[in-house]
Amino acid sequence: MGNIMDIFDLSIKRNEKTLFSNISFSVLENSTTAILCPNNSGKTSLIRTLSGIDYHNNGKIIVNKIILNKNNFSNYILSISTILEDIDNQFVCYNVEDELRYPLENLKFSKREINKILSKIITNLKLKKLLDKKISELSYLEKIKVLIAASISHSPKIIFVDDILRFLNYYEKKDVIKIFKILNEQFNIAVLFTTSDLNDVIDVDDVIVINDGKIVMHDSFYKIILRDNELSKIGFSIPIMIDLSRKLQFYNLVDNIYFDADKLVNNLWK
Amino acid sequence: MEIILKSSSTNKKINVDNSIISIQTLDKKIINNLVNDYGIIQIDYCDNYFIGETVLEEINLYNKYPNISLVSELLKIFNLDDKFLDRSISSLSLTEKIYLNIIRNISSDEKIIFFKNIFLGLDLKNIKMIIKLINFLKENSYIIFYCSDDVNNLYKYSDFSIVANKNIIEFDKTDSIYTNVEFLIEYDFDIPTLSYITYKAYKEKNVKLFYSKDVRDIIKDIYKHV
Repeated sequence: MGNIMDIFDLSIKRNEKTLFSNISFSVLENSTTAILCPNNSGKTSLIRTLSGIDYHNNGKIIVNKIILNKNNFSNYILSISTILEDIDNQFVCYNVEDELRYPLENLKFSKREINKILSKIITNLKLKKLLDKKISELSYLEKIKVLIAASISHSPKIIFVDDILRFLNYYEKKDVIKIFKILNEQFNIAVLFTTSDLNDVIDVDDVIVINDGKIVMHDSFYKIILRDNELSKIGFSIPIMIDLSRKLQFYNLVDNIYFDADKLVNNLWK
Repeated sequence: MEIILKSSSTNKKINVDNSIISIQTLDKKIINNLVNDYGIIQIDYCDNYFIGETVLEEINLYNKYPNISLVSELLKIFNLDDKFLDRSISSLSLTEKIYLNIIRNISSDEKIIFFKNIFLGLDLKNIKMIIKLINFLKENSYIIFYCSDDVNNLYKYSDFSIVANKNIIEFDKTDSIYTNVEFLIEYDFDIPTLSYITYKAYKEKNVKLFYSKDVRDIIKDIYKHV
């Protein structure tokens, strides 16, 4: 698998404040990458910049071998898709089916092509029951699913997702992460999403931790969680079973991280 | 203030002055009823609908007579200075919008507040700010209700707890409710992780740990017993 996105020395300043300073990273094709930043650290500015909505002060952003600049802008935006955190302001139609058709009609796809593309999306994302609903009738989770579906219809190579898991509960978050995996596996689309919650990145391929505008960790979840003290100092809340396991490891009482309390009890008192 | 909550077993009358009360419910109607019956101000972080151009204008539009000294206190809790009041709403980050939503609601001077999903989407620094906020409100004679998807937060930060499905099943001191694991299992309520470990250790391994709310406390106890 090659890289679908490469970022070189990216710097972003807003209102004289440096949000990101010379950050470089890559995203693999058909993979899910999480950017873990504390609250109020510029996650939205980063996603808006990667999407070409806002400018960057320095560095290169390359998606699908296309460099983001004025000359390549129209090609660049066809390779990407973006979902911003303010989800209610991103709908353009009255009901779900129209919302899904709109991007493709706008790109002048034929009716036959539109039906074929949407059929695959609706089946894989299990959206059939929502098609006749008005957008205003949808729950927060359903709105996210519809936005994801609408954003992948033109077959982008990568989708940028800004902190949309924030207001979901534990089970709803798992549901959305599963959808990201479906995008990777069934649609060959990579996902780059931002979050402030360690719970959101447990099942993610690749995690980039950014603090004070710099990348401080870039690894799998199971590697970064071994640096729990640093994560805690940055300001991330450590999930309770991970916190307990890590402290028990410190006292040589267990060997692994346990996510299941029953297994932990059985291991402590065999 | 005494709150009377009818549970399935008894009509319990509990004085909840200066208290933090957590709610775990399997039916959201219970919360709606509670909010409506007692005229409680509800703070929902997902409510990001603002009309004002600036923060101050929003606070003034939301309340006819906002308590300005209280607004200053709240700004201090959130480590914000007075310049925040002049910021345009469109320049605020999502976390700053959450602060504004809290400030505009609390500045109405109502003394009973309900926080819906109190720590949702917040990192450790902001969780600590919310804990500071609810303790400040408690010290100033507020009654705070809250719910959370994470039962560990319900157990850790409240004085009293309500557990409900379609009806209120129990209303008592938090320690009484969340250390009664068999009761929680019987009614299919979420169980705090540390309570569950303590319960399992005794039931299946005959190891008697103390019920703890903090990981550091249970670690010491486990260390003694392994």
